[in-house]
Amino acid sequence: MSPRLNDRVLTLVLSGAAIVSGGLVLLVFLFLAKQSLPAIVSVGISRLFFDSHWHPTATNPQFGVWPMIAGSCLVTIGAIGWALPVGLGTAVAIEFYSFKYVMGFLTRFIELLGGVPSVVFGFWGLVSLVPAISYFHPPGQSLIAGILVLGLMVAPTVALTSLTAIRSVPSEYRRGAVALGVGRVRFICSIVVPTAARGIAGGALLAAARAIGETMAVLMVCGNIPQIPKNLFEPIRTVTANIALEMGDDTVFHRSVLFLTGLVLMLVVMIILGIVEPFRKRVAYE
Amino acid sequence: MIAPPGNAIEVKQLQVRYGSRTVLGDVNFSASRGKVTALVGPSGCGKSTFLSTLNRLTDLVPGCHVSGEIWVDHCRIDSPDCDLGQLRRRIGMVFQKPNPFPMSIKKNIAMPLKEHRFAKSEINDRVEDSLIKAGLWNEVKERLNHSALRLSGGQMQRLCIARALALEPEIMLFDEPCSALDPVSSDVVEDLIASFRGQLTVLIVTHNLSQANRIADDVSVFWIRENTGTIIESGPLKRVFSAPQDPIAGAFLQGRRG
Amino acid sequence: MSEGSLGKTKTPLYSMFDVVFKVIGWGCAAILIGAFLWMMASLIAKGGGRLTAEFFSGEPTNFGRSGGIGTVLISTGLVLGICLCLSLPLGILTAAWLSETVLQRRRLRFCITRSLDLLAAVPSIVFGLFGMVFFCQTLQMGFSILSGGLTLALMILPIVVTTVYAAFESIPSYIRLNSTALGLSKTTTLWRLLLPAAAPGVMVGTVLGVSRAIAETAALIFTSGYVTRMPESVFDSGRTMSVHIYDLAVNVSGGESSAAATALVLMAVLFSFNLVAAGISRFYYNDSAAV
Repeated sequence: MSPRLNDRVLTLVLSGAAIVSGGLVLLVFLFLAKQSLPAIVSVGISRLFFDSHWHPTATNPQFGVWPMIAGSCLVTIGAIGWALPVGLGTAVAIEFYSFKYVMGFLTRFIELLGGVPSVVFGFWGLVSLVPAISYFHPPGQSLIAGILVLGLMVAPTVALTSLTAIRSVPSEYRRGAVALGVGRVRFICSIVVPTAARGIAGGALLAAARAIGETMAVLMVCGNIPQIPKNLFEPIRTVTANIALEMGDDTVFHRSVLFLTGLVLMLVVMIILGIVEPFRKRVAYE
Repeated sequence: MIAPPGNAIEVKQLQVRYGSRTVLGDVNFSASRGKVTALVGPSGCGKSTFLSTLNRLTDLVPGCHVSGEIWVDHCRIDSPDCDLGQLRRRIGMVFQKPNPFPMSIKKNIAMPLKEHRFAKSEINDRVEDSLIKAGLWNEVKERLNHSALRLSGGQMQRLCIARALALEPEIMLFDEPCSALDPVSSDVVEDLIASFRGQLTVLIVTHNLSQANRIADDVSVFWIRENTGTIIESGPLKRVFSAPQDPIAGAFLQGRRG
Repeated sequence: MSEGSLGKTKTPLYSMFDVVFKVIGWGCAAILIGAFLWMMASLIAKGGGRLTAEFFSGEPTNFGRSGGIGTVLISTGLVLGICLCLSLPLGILTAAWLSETVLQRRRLRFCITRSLDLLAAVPSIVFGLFGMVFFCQTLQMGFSILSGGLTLALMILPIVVTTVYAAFESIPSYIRLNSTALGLSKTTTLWRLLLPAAAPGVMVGTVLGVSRAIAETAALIFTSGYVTRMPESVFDSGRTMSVHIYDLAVNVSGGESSAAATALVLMAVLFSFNLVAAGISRFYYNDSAAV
């Protein structure tokens, strides 16, 4: 092969690979859309919202997905609600109140915690946390269990993104603050947090995207009863858990509704991450 | 191997633009076969860009647009059907920073040889031959398979020269080849380049006027006019240094001559 | 002025707040550290005793309550192998295209990077849905290790591309410049110069991708399935470690100790991957995270 022919083949192979890689997300989307079609056409979107219950396999099937949507939202909001302050507090502790070597060690530790598989979190929640909760308020498998486990899963994400945001505050500010005799607390509250706010908010959204798309942990600790909970100790079922539990069913409409919820879930996560985009410095591909 | 007389490089009305910015304009240039031509001038006046147009390295720069005529050995090299591989084999180039590839000394030279389809049986001889020509053979013959990155700066630069020489170029372009080296290595490389006179056509960009004085036959002075680099004076070294026609070129050459 | 009087310029209120902040901050860190330690402790307490040589080699018996995870490890390895066979070449070639064709095709480049970002945003359960319909049913691979591996390959592709792309971009420009000046073809430049220089990045990308894949459960339940016996080929169903943990915890009463022991093995594998990736990054790129 002459060098130029060589190069032409290479260019062809590379662009082929790139186009395949780029096309994959389209393939996923189209397949989900195709599978969701019966749900949209025959069942109708309105029934998803106006059917009062979720009895997809009954002779007179009911496809109300509200309880699952409520479950997903509640568990995500709850998880972010405690993971955001705790993650931010951890980041502040690491950056401002620790020695240099403790700092590196702690960061590493948080990274490790963030890398624990969700099924392990779920397992731990099921065998340790759920019995503890049921000791106070049976049955144990509940919204609160989901909130606690999911929050613990995403807190490292919040902590690490907050840490990055805090570290990107220009060091001149810190020197300037010291030179003016501004104390550490005032410096953190009135300079660091406002300057890093965008990064921290981005981290929280990232964590929310992860939480709402999470399956295994909530599947294992939330009890999986499709209902709108009256208090924190009642079981719930999330959209993701619903898919995981009923995916094996072969009824056309039932499955199609599951695909539709999956498609919507995917779009919601993409939208959240799309909102995060301008919050984060783009490092990839630029 | 004495080259036939005549101009090895002819450049007419060359213009180079990066996006909307014209960095070189109205450049007319010729280099005689077998002679050493020094390109001098202040920083940022397009000397390096000029060198890269000659072997079409400008193709690598996004948004770079070259117009005008560039003739190398009576071939228009700026035409689209020019064989770039061949062109770059015939025109060797050495950069300011000595930068061999991260592989062994021998492979640094052998790899381009293989690429240009030199016979396998010749490769060892050619490696040795080019290292001898670059004056490096005695220093490295015991460790040809060692990494090239462990050589000293001057040795690395001579390896880069050897790498280019192995491809049997007719023209060598040097972009400030000595400015990143210590004085002793710099002298060795300078002497090496001077030794190519009569065998290769050499173009060398240098900021060191006394170096130009020592090794060049001809000299071209670059200058910035209306934000665009151009050649304001060129000719035989002695004439340009003693009786420049352009007053600015004269001042530049005088001011630095000391 | 003496040091004493300078010290007094600090208001007591300020230093009180500082202490409060310190306590709150460390309290938050303690929650995370404490939960992590609690988790590790309960895993070790429940499953530590099961970690013997037989556990690694034996076949699960009595639905996994007893016996080992030998066949599960083999299934996991096969799924990961399939996953890498697709994602690694595709990812490397895509990264090479992204980094070596900056000159032309800006719009296509934009589309491809964006759609990779979107692919990275797809929740794993959705990959599970897609894998089940596309690989298992449309391509008729059934519940098999092949389907599972291919599904995971799509999932980790964005990670591989991003990491390898970063490695390509960190290659000093002089290598491309010199290579072009010597008249070397693009093919030679890529294979002989750029890929070797990007090799550490490729390794980091592989390790990060495998870490994500090995931790995955939701995408596998309905693609590679539950079967515990020794897989005969990649067309056979087989369960990975994560699926094993899930199944034991949820569907098998009394499977806790096996699940905990498997979780410990999984965590040990993940932590060592994490260390390897960090080590390579620090050694070759002088920073702690390559992504």
